[in-house]
Amino acid sequence: MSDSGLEVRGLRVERGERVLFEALGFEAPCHSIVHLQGANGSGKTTLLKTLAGLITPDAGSIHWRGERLADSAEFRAMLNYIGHQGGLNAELDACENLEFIATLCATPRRAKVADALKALNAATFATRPVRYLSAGQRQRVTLARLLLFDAPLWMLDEPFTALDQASRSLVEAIVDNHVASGGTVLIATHQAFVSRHPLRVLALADARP
Amino acid sequence: MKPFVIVAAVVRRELLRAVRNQAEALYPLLFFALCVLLFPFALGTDSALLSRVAAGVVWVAALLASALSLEALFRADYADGTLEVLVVGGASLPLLALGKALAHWLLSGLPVLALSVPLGLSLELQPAMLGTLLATLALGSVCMSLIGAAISALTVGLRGGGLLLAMLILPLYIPVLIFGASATANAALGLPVTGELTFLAGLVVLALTLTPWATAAALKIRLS
Repeated sequence: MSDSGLEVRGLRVERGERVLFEALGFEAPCHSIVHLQGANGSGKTTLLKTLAGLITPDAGSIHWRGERLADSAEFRAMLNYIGHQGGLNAELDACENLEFIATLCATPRRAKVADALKALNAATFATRPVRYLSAGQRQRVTLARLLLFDAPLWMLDEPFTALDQASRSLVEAIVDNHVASGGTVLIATHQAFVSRHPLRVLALADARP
Repeated sequence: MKPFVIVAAVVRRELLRAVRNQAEALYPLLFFALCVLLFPFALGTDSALLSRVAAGVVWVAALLASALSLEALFRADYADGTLEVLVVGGASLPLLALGKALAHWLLSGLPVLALSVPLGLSLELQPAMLGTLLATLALGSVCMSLIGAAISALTVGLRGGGLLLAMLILPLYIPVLIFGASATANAALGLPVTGELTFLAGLVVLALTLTPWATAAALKIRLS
């Protein structure tokens, strides 16, 4: 396996006639964590969405393991993206939701739904409809997707929202394990992030008007 | 095998959601029944007149009920981020669309079909026309669910999406309505209806082959 992970060159994204970033370049090799920092509205979520293929950049290129990405299905199978919304239907329970996502997504599976939920201490409420779960419990169910799929590249957008201290440490340990086994993690969070591995900090400047 | 598994998973999930939230699944059916039952109040109790318009009334009420229920097809999945997760995860959107349309037909087309028998008869519909009405409505409702899914995807998450959806969708239902109404009119005169039925079947095949891709493209547009 080549050591080069994600590489971004000269990225420019405009949203609503505002340039969020211009000529943005960074590298996120294997065994690394990139911590995205920046004030509200500086474009952290937009950057992650762009890298995940939800937003088309106005300029620049994104490379994964040395190959330039257009809209490749192969890259989608490499990626685990946790956005602001968990993708959990309120009428269904955690198991039903995750099983559905795992069946439809092209990303290869690594673990059973029940095991992934257990690893996030979510087994006790796994069969309750999501509408009855607290925000923190929902977030744990959402984060169980990280263990469900076998994807080397993780993109986490504010993963610690609503989590208690114990769950935070749990997620930090899961991220550490992933990096130790050769994974790449991009994480956008305002909170301090503790890791055994050195963090590469990517600070996004305030957007120009 | 894999495409079948995906479509089955989508249908199963939609049915499960309908079982958990029965009220929302029943609204379109109640709307359909009320819509049909308003006509005797408006037109009076002249049974010859009601008998003449019965098939048309059932058809138009079925179109309106379909348009009404399609608004919710992708709403929850858009709002809670499920669509985003599926797009990023490289899920096959045409198969998702096909499963959604199929589930919509099972939950709204099929019950409307069953309800149209007692409702049609209550409007003095000639029993001889009942078979034709059911056959055309069966084919027509499949078309409506498939075409409707594409427009529903295009308007998901927009403000005033419900009315916009109805305005976009009802003109597209006109070809289906023309063949359906013309078949029931022919049946009333004792003429053959195979021509209309063949055309409706052709529309089903056309919708089945084209709309899943249109729905997938519309979902991608709404998510970017």
